[in-house]
Amino acid sequence: MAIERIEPRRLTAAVTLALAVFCVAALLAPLAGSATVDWKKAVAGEWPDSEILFGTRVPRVLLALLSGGSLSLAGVLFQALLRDALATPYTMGISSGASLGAVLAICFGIRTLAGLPGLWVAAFAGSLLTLVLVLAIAADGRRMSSFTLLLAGVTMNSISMAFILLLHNTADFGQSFAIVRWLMGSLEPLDYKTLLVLLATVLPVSVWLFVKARQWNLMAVGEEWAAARGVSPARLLLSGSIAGSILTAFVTALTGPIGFVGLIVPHALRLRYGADHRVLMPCAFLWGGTFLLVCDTIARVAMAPAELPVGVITAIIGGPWFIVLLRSRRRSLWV
Amino acid sequence: MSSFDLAGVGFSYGGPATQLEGVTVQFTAPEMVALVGPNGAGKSTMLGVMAGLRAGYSGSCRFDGVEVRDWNRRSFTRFISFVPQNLRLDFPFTAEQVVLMGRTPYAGGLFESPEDWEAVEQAMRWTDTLAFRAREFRSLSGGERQRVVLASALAQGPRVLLLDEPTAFLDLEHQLSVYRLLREQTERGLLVIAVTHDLNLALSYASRLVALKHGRLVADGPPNEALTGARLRDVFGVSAEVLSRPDGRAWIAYGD
Amino acid sequence: MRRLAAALLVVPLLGQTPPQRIVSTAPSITETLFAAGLGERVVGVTTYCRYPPQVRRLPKIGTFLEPDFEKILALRPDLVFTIKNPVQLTERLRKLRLNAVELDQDSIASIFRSLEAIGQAAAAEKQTAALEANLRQGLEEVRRSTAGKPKLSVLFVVGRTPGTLEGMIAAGKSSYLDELLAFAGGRNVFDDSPVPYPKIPHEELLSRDPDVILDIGDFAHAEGSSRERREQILALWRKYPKLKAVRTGRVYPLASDIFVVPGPRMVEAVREFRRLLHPEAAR
Repeated sequence: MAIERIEPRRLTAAVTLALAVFCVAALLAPLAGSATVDWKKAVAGEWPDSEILFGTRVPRVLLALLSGGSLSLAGVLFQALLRDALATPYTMGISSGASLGAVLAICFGIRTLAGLPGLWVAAFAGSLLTLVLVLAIAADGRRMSSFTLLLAGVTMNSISMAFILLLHNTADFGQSFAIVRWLMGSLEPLDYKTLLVLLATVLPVSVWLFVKARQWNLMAVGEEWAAARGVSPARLLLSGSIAGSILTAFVTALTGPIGFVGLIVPHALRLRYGADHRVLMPCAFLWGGTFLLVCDTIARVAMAPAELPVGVITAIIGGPWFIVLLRSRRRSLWV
Repeated sequence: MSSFDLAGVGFSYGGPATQLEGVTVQFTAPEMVALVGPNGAGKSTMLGVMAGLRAGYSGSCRFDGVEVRDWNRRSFTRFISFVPQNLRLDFPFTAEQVVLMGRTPYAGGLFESPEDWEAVEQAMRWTDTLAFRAREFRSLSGGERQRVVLASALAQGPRVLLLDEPTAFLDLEHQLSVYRLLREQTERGLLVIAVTHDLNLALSYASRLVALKHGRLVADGPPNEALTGARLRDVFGVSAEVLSRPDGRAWIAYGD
Repeated sequence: MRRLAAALLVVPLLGQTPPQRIVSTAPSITETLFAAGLGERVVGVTTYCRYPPQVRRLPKIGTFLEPDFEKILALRPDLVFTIKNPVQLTERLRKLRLNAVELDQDSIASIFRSLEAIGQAAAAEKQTAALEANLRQGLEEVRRSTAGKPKLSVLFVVGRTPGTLEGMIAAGKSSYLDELLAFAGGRNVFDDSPVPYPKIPHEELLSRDPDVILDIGDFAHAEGSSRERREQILALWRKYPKLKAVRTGRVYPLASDIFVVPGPRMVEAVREFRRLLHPEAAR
């Protein structure tokens, strides 16, 4: 009896479906919005219809796809690396580091740094600094393990949050409003140059993660398990957390922290497709992007002309959906 | 012929206490070795050194003439499989996916080659796990899980199997089936070294018994020679008697 | 301590002498008290209070969300004015046996109502009535002068992410600024928004294409109006050169807290709006 060899076919089927939905969502989302747009005029380049479509909606859709994809992929990765089903892209302290940077920029009125908005630069610098500190703490003395990494991340998280609260306390009213706004996270229409830089970072990192999928499978089982199969867990832990942090840091600098995407999308996919990272990772990117796009579209139109923070929508939609998923499958996630 | 050559191997985790000290011993395939000793004797540490998981050992531990820490890890793990004590998974891998992971040392790309699949199929047939290959690992019974982990180790196509208490959490029937399997693998020409606490199983299945105490080698030989009442008292601190069965094999009766 | 509590209890009970030691827990209250000529009686203000300039020297009692109750007690006030807020400040002050009066100052009508309440509580009806008449006259004068003018659509940006045009918060329907704009011959482009201070997407900005854009700048620094800062704000808006207000040079960076503190300086605020919207009506 020869056993059926299903892996490549499963991947093709799952990715084809995810890609199809991703593309449909990407094409439909720019049609929705609070303002009415004349399509003929927009395509003909007439103002303001063209600017609304190509200057605000399309870049925002692209940002949603890229950030949702990155966060959800980083979620899958960190859950595997830390072997913690509740890990998120933020467990390592990346987003609180970014937030601390942003809050500093707000409190000290840094508007531009190196020709870019000061907030972005400060947030990105904050998250990279946090990453370096977390790795340094985790690697101190003995060899780095996912346990020391987790502890270091949690520690840095609370330290950054403490500083944020301190700064928030001394901030004036306008600054404190800006801090709260930033901490809610939101998607904005960025210029195409910034989006291109984002894409040029996210794409190679994501492809690299996908190529290493079999290694993440081993790491998801255990470090000794991985070592006994010829890979170096310490090196994977280091390179993986750097890659995941770069994804998270880039996105967070541009959008602020957006919760839930990095948690529920990976879990939903694991319930559907199992734990093999070869299927999980590409699907996480595509479905994560789609999920955040849908949430952001709702955030844009639900209370038009005002818009809602997208984090509110991801939590309102994501939370209950997650509960339904958990209850509909009798598998336990955390045995 | 695959062989391990340990000479004066020592290991410590950095404190004043040493886990392993001056262990000199040779293993040559095919044989089935039971590694015994009380808790904290250094059995798992010794297995870890041999599996290349404890690079900071002192002395010399060579596999096929090359120091373990100098081996290319990928090539090394094509020869040496390590089976952990009790595998717990945080994620819903299927039994088959767990076995497939054993092929990582041969990975040339994102997917398994036809040879990989053949090896996996063979390993699952040996361990009689094909029936639940698509089931989630976490939903399996303890005995089924251990057989799947064993299949993953066998899928590596090893010449040496290193097992850390492979039957620790199994009932008697499953313990016996695992040991039977290990003996079959020995008969195929493998070197099998298993840490165990069950001396009767060691006597029944192992061709050689090695005992450690306080990190030192205290006994080495055919099980019925290496195990004597005096040695049991000396090594384990228990009073027991080694009895001979009519078929010539030995068994241990505990008690005063 | 007991004597202090007794003294606090006795003063309001006597009711004869008008309160002499007033604590204000919001910038708008402070401004109102000073405008009504009660400044001499104010003994404590918040750290956010900056106007009129002499309040900077007064003892600070924290902010209206995080007041320092010990400081308030130490000032031995016989009257504390509070703004309706979510931290139940009024109730907490009353538990400390302080004479706390709650005011509402988030619209023009409520500001006038609060004037009356202040007059009653501080036994200064004459002063507050005079201030009210004065303010009403000022508003009316602006309204008349712009009556025949075309209603210009106005976007009032109350906040942005520092250094970008993103995260834009505008004055929305039934906000205080929305009312002030109406007096000055303007129409708030977001007077249909469901919330008073909505975050607005750029596409709404583009499709509504307001005649005039008033930008109070990013949240980080509400104060100061260097030329450099004005230049920075205008440079941001040049991202959309085809926007009517940008094309016609009618983007005005603003830098004053008269627009964000509802209170007696509302007349100043509407005059400033008139100067920007209808300069010809301002003579």
